[in-house]
Amino acid sequence: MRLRFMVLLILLGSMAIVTRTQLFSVQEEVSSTLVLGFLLLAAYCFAFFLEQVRLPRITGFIVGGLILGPYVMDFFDTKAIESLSFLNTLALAFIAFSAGGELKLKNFQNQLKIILFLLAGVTTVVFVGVTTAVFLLSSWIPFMSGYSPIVRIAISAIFGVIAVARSPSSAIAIISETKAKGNFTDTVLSVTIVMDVLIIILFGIVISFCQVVISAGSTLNLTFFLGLFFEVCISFVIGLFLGRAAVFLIENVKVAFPVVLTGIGFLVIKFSHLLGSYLHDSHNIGLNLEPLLICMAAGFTVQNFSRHGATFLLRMDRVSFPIYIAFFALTGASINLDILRSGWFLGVVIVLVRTVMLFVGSYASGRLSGDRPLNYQNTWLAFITQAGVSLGLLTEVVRRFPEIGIPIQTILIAAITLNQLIGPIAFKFALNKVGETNSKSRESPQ
Amino acid sequence: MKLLIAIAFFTVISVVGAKITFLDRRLPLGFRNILFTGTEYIFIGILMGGMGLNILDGLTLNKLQPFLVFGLSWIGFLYGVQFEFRFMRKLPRYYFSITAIHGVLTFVLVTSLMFLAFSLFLGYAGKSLFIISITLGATGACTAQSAIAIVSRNYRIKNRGLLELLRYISSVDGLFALIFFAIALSVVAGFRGSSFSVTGALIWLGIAMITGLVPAIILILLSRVRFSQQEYLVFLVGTVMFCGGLAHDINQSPLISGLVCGIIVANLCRHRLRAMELVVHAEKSIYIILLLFVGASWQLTIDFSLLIPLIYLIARLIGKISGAWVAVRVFKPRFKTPSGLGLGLISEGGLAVAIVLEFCMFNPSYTNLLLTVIIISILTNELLSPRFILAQFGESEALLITKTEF
Repeated sequence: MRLRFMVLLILLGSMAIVTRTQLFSVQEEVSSTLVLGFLLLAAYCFAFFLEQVRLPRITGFIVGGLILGPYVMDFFDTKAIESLSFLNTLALAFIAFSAGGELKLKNFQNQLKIILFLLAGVTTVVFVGVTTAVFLLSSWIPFMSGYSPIVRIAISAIFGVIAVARSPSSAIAIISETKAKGNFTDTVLSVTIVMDVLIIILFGIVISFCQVVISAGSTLNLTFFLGLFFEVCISFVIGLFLGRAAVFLIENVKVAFPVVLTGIGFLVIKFSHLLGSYLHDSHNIGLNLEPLLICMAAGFTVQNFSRHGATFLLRMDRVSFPIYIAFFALTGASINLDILRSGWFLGVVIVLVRTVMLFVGSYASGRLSGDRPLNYQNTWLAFITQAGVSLGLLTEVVRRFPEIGIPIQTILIAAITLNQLIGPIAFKFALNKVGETNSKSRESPQ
Repeated sequence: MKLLIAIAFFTVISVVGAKITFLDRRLPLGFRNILFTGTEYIFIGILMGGMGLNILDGLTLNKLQPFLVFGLSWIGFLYGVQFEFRFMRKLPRYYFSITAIHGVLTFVLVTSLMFLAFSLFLGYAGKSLFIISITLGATGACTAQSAIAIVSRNYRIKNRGLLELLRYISSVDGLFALIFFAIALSVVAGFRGSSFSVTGALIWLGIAMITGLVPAIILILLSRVRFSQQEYLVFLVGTVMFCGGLAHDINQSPLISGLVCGIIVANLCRHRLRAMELVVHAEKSIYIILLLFVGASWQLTIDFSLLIPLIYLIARLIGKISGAWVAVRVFKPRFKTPSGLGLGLISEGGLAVAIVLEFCMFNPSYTNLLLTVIIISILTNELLSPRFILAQFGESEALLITKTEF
């Protein structure tokens, strides 16, 4: 503890000398190499301290990033974070591959009834609950109060659908950290990952409904839903082919495949975005492939349709730690405290309503599906975390509804930030409570 | 878009390349010197760069500079971490002395001849003449290990002592090159306009030491308590990245800071072997990235300056032969040493590439000239050096290992 504290002091001191003093002739901007090295080591130290009070490491990475980043200690600015944004994409590709790899058909089949009940129950209760709560509060929310009730319902539905989204990356990171194994872990992970796919469809439906209600002249047509279905299917098929390619890599090219796979995943994500923009701009075709689904399907293929499932997960896990630190520390550093300050009250309300709904939904679903009481009493704790997907969906909301999008984004970013801080702690607590963590997970040196 | 392709390209080529290059495959000797020694990546870089498909253009390469900084720091660290004094004492002391004399003489000769060449043919003067000559002197003093590895892999060498000496020199002489390079950089830092300040140069050297020392202390402190293999990976990558970034941001040398950090870790860290194991694991990938950078950044211009690589080749050859000749005459080894021993040390690669890339990072106006010199030198020397090494052992002393034995 003392040594880690000394390391943190040395790191902070060095950064303070470089960024705050005129002792050296320095480059105009702090380089991303320095920022990344500093973040890796300092966020690790923060995580180590929080681990001593039994908090999950990823909370430490996020808190570390937040404290060291542009809104608190200001050792580096948002430009530096932007220059490292490719790391987020790389990490997302890695996490999506791992998420797919964690989805084992055998476990899925064993827990199928519980998973389906949870998916249906939690989604419905959270969506309806949060939508209703926001609608009831809408008269007091400045940017909503001027609209008609139907428009307010539509806007409330946006809050509702974003509330349904979870964070597979955080779930995988916590499971990887605690080396958790068991029915509860499998169920939570399966629900979280499948929900990641479902949310895209659900969001599409809600957003098109909003477009009809909010933008005069728009119509709700069947081709939109068919298009959405086509996008998901084609993404899944591409993912299956990518998975076969990954199997080929593992079998024939003896390379460090986690690195190569992540590189390929990175390309898939970027090219999917580019292809979507190109088709939209040049041919007015609205085909958006779901890159995360492609990577997940690839991981799923390796796990379930090859004999390399176990090796795949093991080798991905070996390189996961630096990726998680970088990803979550950058997530923490990107938390805009100004937005949090302006939207915190409504954010807290939404967090509270969502949490209550998560509890009601998961408790009822677990009970109806015949799950163990210890499991269904704690499932809600595992679903609190929100991150990347929710933020991605919010960007889409702003793009489609520039007028109301910004205030929605402000409030929901505040809520997501709070969920991202509370969620990992709650999930680790739940895993401990159901007894599925492995306390002897840390190796000793040499 | 180009950046995206570049990142993916660098990642895939460096990882896959590290597995297929430097392998024990049997190919005709001349062909083998170009393929599977890493030299091929210069050509791939040229193909992707401004002289080829222009995917890795100047702007994209500039955006990829963080990778370069990290790579340079990693190479410096890797080099430094091999200098564990306790281990080095186990080898005959005269090995070190021979290496030192050979390194210093080569450096002095190459620097002097390049100094003359630059001032006579290109009209350089002052600080730029000084620093560019010393940089090439430093690269000239380095010896790559690839050619010696090819020979020892394919031939049964009777004179094991001579082979061990060649291996030792090629592993250690880069230290002198880096010391000269560091001194040169400090001298440049000491110039304030037309006057020179010794204090300014010493301060630069002091800061270079500190930027290596601080990350080394961090790594040592972090690894004093219980940690997992995954955590150690974070410590090491974070430390090397922090070291390189810190040096770069305060206009110091990531290569030199990495070297200092590596030497301290090698001698004071309990887990030095683990560090060494991890850095060596990524060595090939990082070396490939540096070679790709070299190839992609190169813009060949056909003019009078093409004389410079030729002069450099000759100067280096003279330096190597005379340096090694003097060294073995002063410290007589216990085994037979040929008079042209220096010819066995002309292979050039890794560290020389790193020195040139670092110099170009801080002095972009010299990029083309220096890259032309280093690329032509690497290609020529890689083609010739295995033959020259074999010549040192004599035909009767080096027997080709047959296919079945191989």
